[in-house]
Amino acid sequence: MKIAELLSGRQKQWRELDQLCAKLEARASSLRDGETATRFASLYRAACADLALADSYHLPPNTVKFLHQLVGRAHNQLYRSRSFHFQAWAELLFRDVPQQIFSDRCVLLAACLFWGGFLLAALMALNPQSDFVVNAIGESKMARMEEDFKDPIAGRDYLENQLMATFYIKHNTGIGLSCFSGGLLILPGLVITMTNAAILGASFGYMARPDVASGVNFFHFVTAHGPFELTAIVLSAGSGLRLGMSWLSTKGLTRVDSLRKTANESMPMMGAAIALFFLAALIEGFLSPSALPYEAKAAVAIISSSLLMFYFVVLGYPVESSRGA
Amino acid sequence: MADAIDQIDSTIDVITPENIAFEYQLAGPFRRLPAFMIDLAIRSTLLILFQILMLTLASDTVSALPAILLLWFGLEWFYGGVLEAYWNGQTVGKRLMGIRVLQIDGQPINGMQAMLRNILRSMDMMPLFPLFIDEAAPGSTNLFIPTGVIGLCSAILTRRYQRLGDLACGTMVVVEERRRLAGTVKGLDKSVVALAEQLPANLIVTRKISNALAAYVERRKYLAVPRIKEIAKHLGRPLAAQLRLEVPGGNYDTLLCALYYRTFVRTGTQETLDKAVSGGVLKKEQASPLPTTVATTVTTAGPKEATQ
Repeated sequence: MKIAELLSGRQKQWRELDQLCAKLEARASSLRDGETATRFASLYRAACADLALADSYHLPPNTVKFLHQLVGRAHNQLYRSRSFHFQAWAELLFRDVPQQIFSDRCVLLAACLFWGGFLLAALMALNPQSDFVVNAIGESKMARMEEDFKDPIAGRDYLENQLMATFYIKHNTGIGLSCFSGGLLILPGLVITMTNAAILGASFGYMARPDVASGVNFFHFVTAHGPFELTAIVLSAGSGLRLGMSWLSTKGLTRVDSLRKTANESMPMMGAAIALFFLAALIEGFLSPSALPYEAKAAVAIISSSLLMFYFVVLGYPVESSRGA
Repeated sequence: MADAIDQIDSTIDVITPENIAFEYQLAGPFRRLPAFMIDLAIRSTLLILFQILMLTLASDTVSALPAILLLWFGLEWFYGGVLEAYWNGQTVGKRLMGIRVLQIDGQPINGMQAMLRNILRSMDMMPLFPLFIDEAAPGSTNLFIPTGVIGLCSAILTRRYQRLGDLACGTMVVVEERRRLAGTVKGLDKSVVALAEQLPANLIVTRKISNALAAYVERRKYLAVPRIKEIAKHLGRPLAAQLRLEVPGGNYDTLLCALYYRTFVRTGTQETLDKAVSGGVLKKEQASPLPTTVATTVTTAGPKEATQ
């Protein structure tokens, strides 16, 4: 038996598989039609067998290369990406993530760093003699902040609220994601986190000075969305830091394995942080600038803080059964 | 070491659930960078077009901006992740460059891996290079050009050309191209066919030699005549000596082509050729006429071919 005969016998099927692959690739759709799927599968298996026997068939190297690529392409059409499992995500978000966060040292460290930096900056900014605020925020921004919060918060129109809410989503979530991805290399993540802590702390401290008139309006504005937003930053910094620590302290795995394992765990944590950023942006865009009395906004802050507590402590408290599993 | 051998060709072996191993060619920076640039161009164009559309349709800027901001945010962070998750590991740029993201074991990637590797790209793009250096106003708005040195170093240092995002997700990028099926070489010279008839009927060619013959004949049309002569000499001379053939004028090229013809195209009798043309299907027991005396050179004393 000669190769030419073999090729002429098999070529027809290879061509058919090749065309099916091309069709599937072009439409980027999966194998829905039952008949095509069956045909595709049997063609694929036949091509696999041909490739496996290529050596004993004495196939020329070029044909073997063709088969490698054909089988590879068909493989990618048969085993397709599984996009998103939203139901599994919900389970992950409300069962596994809080437990991870509860026992995660990196989140704790990130919280200490962020809040420590925040409080330090606030204390330094509170002192009227120090020029820390000018260095941290800059004259122009200070002036703009005072200008923004000059008038009591009396609500604004819906369109502007909508605009600001989307702006906060883009801006704040972007910062959170940078914190997270920066954590992979540790230093960039820490720099972004601490810069934000310093600027936020300085703003809060400055606005809390008794001689700054617009301070009352400022705190009136930030109370409602504060808990969600600041927690979200801590959470994204923490999950990023965890990613970075994973390749430094590997716990017996190789560095790459440790990184891969941790990435699987910290990505859902980042997902929780993104959800918090979105909630915070909605509150910041629509509720915070509204004319509601301060008591209502404080109530929102209290409710959101207790929700967070419930999430981290009640849902997150280590459960024996899941530990054993 | 098997890994080291793979590394020479930048291919990676994948074992499927069908228990067959096939190879992928890994995609290097010269395919991935263009793919990224295409995606970047698409993202920017989409955003600009959308902006123009919204600003002309909407009555005022304030009502148009939210949608633009949301699209900007989405494209900036989730463009690659969502496309790769739904498009089986490809973005538009990757599809145009013929590359695909897979897990390192050859399985398709899942949604979380797609998102994560795209979010972590910003770290692979580090360090940033500031375009203007304005000493009068430090910290003022500046253009930072991502250099991508970290991702490049990571790709160079890892076996599967993985950037940091790939390492964290356990993914790799492979080349997936459509290759033309090259059959046996046609249009060989008449003298080749004539010489093939003269070759011993019980001639059996080993796997190594047949590979060399195929590689030579498939490529000879791209070579200059003196180069053909030079290459053919090295394999042809010992073969001719072993077959006790006289090669007129030292034209070993014809001999190699004749051997190729005998090995891959036809056995020597007109009958088998006719059968092949009329579509006789191969049976497997006929297909492995491996001689018992496997040598690195042609053996003339091997067993008779099963087809004869």
